[in-house]
Amino acid sequence: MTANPSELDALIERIFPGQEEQAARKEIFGLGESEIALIKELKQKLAGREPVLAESLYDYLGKFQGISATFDDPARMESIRQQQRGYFSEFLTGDLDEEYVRKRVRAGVVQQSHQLRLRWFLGSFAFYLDRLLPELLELAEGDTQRLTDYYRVLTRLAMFDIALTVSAFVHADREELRVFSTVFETNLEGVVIADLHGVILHGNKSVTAVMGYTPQEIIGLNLRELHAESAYDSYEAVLAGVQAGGQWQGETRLKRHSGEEFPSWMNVTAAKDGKGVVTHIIVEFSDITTFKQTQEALVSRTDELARSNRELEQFAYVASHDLQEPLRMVASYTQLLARRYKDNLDEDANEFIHYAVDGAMRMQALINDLLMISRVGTRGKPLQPCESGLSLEHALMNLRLAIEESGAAVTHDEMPRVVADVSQLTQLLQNLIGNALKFHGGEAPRIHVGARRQGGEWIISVKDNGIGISPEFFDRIFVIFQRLHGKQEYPGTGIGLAVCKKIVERHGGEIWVESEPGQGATFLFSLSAAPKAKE
Amino acid sequence: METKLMGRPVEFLLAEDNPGDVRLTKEALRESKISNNLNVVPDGVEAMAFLRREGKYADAPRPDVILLDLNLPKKDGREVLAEVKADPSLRLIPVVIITSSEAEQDVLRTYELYANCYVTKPVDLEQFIKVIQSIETFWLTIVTLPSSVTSD
Repeated sequence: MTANPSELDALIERIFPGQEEQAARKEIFGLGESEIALIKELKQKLAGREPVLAESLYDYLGKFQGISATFDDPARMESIRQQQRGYFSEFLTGDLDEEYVRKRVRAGVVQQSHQLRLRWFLGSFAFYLDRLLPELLELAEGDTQRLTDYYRVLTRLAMFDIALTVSAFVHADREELRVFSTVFETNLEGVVIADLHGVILHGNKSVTAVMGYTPQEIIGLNLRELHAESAYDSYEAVLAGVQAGGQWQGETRLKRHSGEEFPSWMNVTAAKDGKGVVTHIIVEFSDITTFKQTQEALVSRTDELARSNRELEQFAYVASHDLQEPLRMVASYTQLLARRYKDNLDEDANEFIHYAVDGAMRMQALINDLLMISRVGTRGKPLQPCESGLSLEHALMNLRLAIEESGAAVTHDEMPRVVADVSQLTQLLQNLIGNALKFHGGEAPRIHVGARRQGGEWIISVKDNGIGISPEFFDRIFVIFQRLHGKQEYPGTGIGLAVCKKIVERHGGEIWVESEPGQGATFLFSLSAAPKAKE
Repeated sequence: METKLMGRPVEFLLAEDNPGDVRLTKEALRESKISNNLNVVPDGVEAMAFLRREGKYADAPRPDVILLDLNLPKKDGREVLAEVKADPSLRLIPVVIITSSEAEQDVLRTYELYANCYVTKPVDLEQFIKVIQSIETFWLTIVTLPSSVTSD
């Protein structure tokens, strides 16, 4: 686990020995004032020698295969070399103050974070002391007592130093383990460590909670015993695969202590040692009962919804279709009455007949609209890549008369390739442009059909200079049979935009409007972009 | 051309189960300029019996035009159309499919049965009369073709 610098600093502060602890350590290793004075004296005498000594260390370590293999990254190698040089250069600083102690602690933490081995550190220390001995001999100038003093103070210092660094190293190691073990223990998934035969060595808190065993009971059980009988065979197969070093992930059935079975999502991994030999089996699992139930409920709800939607569309279709028959009878015979007995009827009677027929006809218009909207869902063609320009062309052709009559100017951007039911797209554009023609203000309509790319979609817009719509009606206009104007003002049943909405929704897109009263309106809808046509 | 037709009345076969529509068709044809005879059958089975001159229809005239409602009892319009178009002796009789809605025509087209003409029953009486009259015109067009059905 290579930690980032701020994490390392935090760790160093956590394990940094306080004043008392530092004093206690110095006492244990026999580093009193006289010893420190002696170290200072040594330092002065050895001034200029440390870098040479430290450098030879590096060469020494480089001779070992395992070490040089670890340092195969040149940048990392250089950084470690610098650190090592620094470490031993500071060895004889003398004061053994707080800063010195902190540097030793840091060295241990850094080494651990680089996953360097302690024996490399200790080995280089031994080598360093080795190389120092001839220097000491020279400095003592034959004075045995002085040599003994030097030797004593240096050994103590080395012990003090090593103890600090090693203890920091071990502490950091343990800290890492502590974090890992917290992750293991508090994992929401059940995590089990088993031996190669599937005998459980350890289970975390979730295992005991989910399976219903106490932590003591779970140890010694075989993984097989956690499975439902129906899953034994698949477990054996998984076990064999993982014993051979493989990994398995999938759904299985487990059995709680109470005998209750439940569906589980399980991940089985082989834990290997440094040589790649499988030593343990790690099993992670979770209880997916709720997930499965939710999923099943969702599937059945979706099915139900789709079915009821289909039924509703079918109902609307059949109902509106069958409604036509009696309606036709009412209207036709009322008219026949008028036709046959024209001369025998007075003004009132003719007016009554007019309203009866008018009502029947309006009802027919509504029924046809209902039919049309139900057909968007029931009679739609598959969505496929198509040229929206072609749909626009068709829509404009169908609207030719209305365009000519109103003197409208219709312009458009280059139209994109989209994924759509081409005849429904035509209807969609025709309804929107038709509205723009219909709801024009005083001036001749100016209509622009725009297209802009937005991610994987095209936003197609129909902008007009008509009467506009007040924002409070933005939602209402898309609702079937909702009209904002009197029939005298603008005829129609209020179906057009409802059909548009239904078509766009069937295509998985959205439709909305941007407008201000008197400022014209822009209707926008989104459609999936289609890949470019192959030439 | 018209004088040629005046020789005998045009024979219509109307397969329609709704008496209201039967009566309306009668009324519309009554206003027709050409002499015609409306034969009515209430379901698909009887329509076929009429066309094949079976049972009580042994002396039935061969219709010049078939007006076929889609929603017929016993045997629906779709089946009648299929049988007519599969029968070499009946195939040439023009069939006008009368539907209650345009949506019905879609359904029919999906069966790939090609009727000579589709007509949607209009709500408006005036329109209905026009439709019936246009069927007559349509029939007039048919008889001018070399493969005249009357030369059977």
